[in-house]
Amino acid sequence: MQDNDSRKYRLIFEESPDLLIQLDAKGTIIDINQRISEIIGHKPEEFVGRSFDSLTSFLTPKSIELVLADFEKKIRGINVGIYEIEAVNKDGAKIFLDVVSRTLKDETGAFDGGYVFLHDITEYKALQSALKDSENNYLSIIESSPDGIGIHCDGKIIFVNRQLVKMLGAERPEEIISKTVMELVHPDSRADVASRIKKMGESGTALSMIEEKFIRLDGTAIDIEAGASPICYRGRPAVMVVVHDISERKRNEKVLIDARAQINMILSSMQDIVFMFDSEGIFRFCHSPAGTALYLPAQEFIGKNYAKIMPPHVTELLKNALKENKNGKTSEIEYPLEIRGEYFVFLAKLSPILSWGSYQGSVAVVRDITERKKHAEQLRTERKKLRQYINICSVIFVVINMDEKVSLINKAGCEMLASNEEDIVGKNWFDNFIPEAERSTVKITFNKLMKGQIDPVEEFRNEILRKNGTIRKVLWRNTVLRDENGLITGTLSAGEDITEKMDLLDKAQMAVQAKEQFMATISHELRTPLASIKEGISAVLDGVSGEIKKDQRSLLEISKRNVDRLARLINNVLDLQKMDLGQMEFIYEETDIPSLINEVYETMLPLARKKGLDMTKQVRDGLPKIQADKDKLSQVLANLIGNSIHATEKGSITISALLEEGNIKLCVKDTGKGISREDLPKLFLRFSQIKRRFGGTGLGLAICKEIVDAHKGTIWAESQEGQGSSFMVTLPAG
Amino acid sequence: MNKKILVVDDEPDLLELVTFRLENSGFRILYARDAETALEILKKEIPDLILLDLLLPKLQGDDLCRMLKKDKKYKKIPILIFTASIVRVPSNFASMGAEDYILKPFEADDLIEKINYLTK
Repeated sequence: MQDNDSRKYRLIFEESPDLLIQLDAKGTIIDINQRISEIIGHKPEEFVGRSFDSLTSFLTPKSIELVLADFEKKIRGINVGIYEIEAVNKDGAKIFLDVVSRTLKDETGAFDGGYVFLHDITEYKALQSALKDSENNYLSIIESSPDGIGIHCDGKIIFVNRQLVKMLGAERPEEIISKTVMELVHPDSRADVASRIKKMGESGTALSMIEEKFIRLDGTAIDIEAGASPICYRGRPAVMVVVHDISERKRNEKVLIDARAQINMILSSMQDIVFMFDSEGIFRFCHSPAGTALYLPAQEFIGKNYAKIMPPHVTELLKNALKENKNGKTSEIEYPLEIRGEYFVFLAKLSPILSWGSYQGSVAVVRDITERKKHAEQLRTERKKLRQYINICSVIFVVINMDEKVSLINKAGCEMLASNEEDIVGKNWFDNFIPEAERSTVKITFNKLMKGQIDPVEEFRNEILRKNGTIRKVLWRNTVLRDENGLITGTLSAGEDITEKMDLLDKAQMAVQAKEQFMATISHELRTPLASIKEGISAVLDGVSGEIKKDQRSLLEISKRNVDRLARLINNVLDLQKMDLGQMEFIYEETDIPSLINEVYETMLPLARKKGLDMTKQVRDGLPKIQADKDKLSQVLANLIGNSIHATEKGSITISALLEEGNIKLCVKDTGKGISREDLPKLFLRFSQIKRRFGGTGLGLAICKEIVDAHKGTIWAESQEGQGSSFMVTLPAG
Repeated sequence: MNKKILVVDDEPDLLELVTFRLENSGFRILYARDAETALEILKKEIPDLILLDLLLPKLQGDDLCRMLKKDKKYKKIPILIFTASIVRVPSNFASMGAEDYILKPFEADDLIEKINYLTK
């Protein structure tokens, strides 16, 4: 039995997978199983009978120390678990051993040796290390991924990488871990996510990326794209979710959509045609607003090279413009184009499309400027015409800017200044062309005008200083010039050189004065001797110097009559001159025509009687009083009556007055010899007396006409030769 | 007693003719051919009327007229302006202080009538 047990023990001892070492109470090795040769490469016989300390051939001193310390603890009743020691095999390779020791006691309970079990764990250690490395690599990949990666298991988050932490607005993974998946999914996406998870559970296959919305910790939504794969995490089935933040892309998409909408809006409100060329000069886009003239239908441009479809003159211009664009410069071209028989002019602005500084193509904004060109042409023509006009007209045109400088002067202006346009334009008008004496006054006025403090004087006369120092007199009409905002910018003055005119006027005035003076003198100088002649004759005729014979008397009477006539002539000439100069004074007062007629009648009556003529008055009652110069009106009436007396040898003179059509009508009618038809129109002209039938001056009726005219009345004569005459005067009543 | 008339005129012919006419009409005539002489005469004699020409060699008739009319001693003497100058008279005679005027050439009857009227 004992043998049998011994045999069994031996078998178990030898076949144990662990290396077994039996020690006695002194620490001497009693037995070692065959495993030592497998694990270490030594034979058991090499060690049996030797102390445990002698195992240094494969155990490190530290390992020996550990095992012995373990034994000592065990002897003292202190429990020690499994621990690891290092060893070196015969080939020198490091091996790892797990150590378990057991102590034995004899019948008295004293320490009686023990066993050391060594389990080779080298391979396991290597595997464990490899696994750890792999997991570390895996983690570092996950952590450094630009995508968010999370793992959930049974609906709970168990892992999140740094990126996902950041995406979700957290600072540490712990803030996310242990939340449910649905807590992180936006309500809009929850149904989707739930069905996807379910689907994946059923099929066990990965799910492709789809757009979803997550909720960040702060409650805001985040656009993401997520894909999921089933994985085994630490031995349990889990789901790994890869999350891609697409909020930026979404924003960009929105911006892009907005930009596109804006571009469309801009394009739809543009009156311009827009083309886009690629870098090869091929039309890629064409926008033409309704009503614009397009060389070809819009779609026919697309995909074609400009050189193939545009006429040569445009192609040439485009080529150069696109070349400029390629160099990063914008360019502008203008070209005529015939479209369906109509003539157009276009202005195209070409700009390069650059992407990261490299040329991608060009945008051409093309404007139909046909009308503008026409207008510009018209304007140019008008301007030219205006320029020609202002240059040929004799009026001086000067534009003076606010800074007192001349900005325009026409030919007449240059001539007046006796200077060239280039010597005038840009010069200070006042400092150069206004005489010093007037300069400051004119300048002050101009500056007040510029400040809007005064309005321009309609006519302004000043002296202009020419280059050669001579002075011209100019009459100006000024207009203030304003810009489109109504702000004063300068003056436009139209001037007339009145130097000669003024000189003439001065001369004329002097001539008038001289004439006046002359007339006054001559009348005085003529009248003085006349007075002596007349008085001498009169004295003799009056018998002051004694009796004279009858024929002597008649001769002297002729002399006296002619002296009187001469005196009247002088008076009449002076009167007319006064009237011509407007110097004749009229004193208007309320005048009663019947009494005026009466006075004149009484005065003239002796003269009529002397010739044996009848003189009668026929004055209507109730004639209104009128405003008139009594003396002058009496002079008219006396003149007319006097004429009639002179012209009538026998018969009568009738003076009448009546009211006719609001006028007082006076009439002096005689039965004299009358006036011939051809003389009638000349009656009221000066010195028109055709036949000197009596001692008239030839000015009496002319003076009458002037006086009647001054009263706003009319005077005329009716007559037939041999049948007497009627002289009529009408005067407005009231 | 004959009325004294001072005739002031630089025209000797007319002066003679007027003197002749007026003396024949019963006036006593003093005469001067310029204003200065007239003033000398006036210092010695006060006439009943002055017949005054306007255009005189030195001091003018209108100035003399104004002078006399300002002088207490002479202002009562009537002055009849006697002129060929149709321009200076008739509108101005009153402003000189003169009583009336008569234009040359004149009607002797008008002259005598005016003198009589003013020396009444």
